[in-house]
Amino acid sequence: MSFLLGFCQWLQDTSIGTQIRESTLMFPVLEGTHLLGLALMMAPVMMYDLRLVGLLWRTDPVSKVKWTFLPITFAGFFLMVSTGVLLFWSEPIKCFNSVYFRVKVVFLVLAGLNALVFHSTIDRTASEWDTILPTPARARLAGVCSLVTWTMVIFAGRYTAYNL
Amino acid sequence: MSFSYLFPFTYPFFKWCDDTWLCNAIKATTWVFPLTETIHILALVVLLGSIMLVDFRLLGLGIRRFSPLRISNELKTYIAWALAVILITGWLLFMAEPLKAYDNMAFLPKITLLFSAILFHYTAFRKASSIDGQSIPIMAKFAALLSLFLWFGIGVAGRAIGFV
Repeated sequence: MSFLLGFCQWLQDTSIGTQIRESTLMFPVLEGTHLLGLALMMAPVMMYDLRLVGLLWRTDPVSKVKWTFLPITFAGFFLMVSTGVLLFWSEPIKCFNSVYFRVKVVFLVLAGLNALVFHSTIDRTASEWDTILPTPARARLAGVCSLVTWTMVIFAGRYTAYNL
Repeated sequence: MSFSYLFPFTYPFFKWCDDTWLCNAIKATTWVFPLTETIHILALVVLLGSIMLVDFRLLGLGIRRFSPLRISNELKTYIAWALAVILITGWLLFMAEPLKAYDNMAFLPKITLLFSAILFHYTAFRKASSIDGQSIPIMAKFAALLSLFLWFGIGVAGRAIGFV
């Protein structure tokens, strides 16, 4: 942990971090854009998750839903990551000390693992259940896990800003 | 642009809100406000994300495989629920500090934009998003731009409430 703290200390003292921190407008604008990116990414992610669960787009193939919304997901993801990096850059020590930020990182990793496991297992046979309802149990589980982990990421992310 | 500047006669209403048991109950706790705000933001992600998908479709930015009618039909239940959650939590957030809202320069613009956006969404925008074909008339594209402008404006003004 001391290595991480050292890194955070160094990052906090860089000129970019200091400039964002000391500017009145930068932080709220970055935060707002972070949220915009989140909405842009999460709406398509939820579409896909809910299709996997079998609650939305039931009459359309899973692959159609996936490929239709993927470009928007990536656009939102790019916006979110780039603003997220800058937000972290401006206050790494605070993030390091925040329980909520640590929870957020844990759930980000879990969301990533869930996607990784899903795409490397049941999603490989997706063409076989493209139009079949109900979808396989493991696909439904992956959809639910994605919804839960991302909700927790948003929750913990908002709470990081409260200094509780 | 605050209520206190433009409509000082509304003061008794804000004062009355400030005296209600609900306001006092929220003020007496430290956990209700952050929890409510976080749920408000979760609903925002669903609401803004879903509406943006319909807007993007109308503007021809991706999602061409589904007609505007198809997308808005799939999403309308989620949009309505998210709107209900965001209005209830927003009302609670307002009740936590009514007098601050009365003086806040961003609160009046936000409320004005909000009522305009809801009215627009369920009238002209509903007509625009009920197109079931590939060609989108220029007026429908204009409606999508106005929708983006209104909902973004609410987000920006909402973000600004905490800063001005």
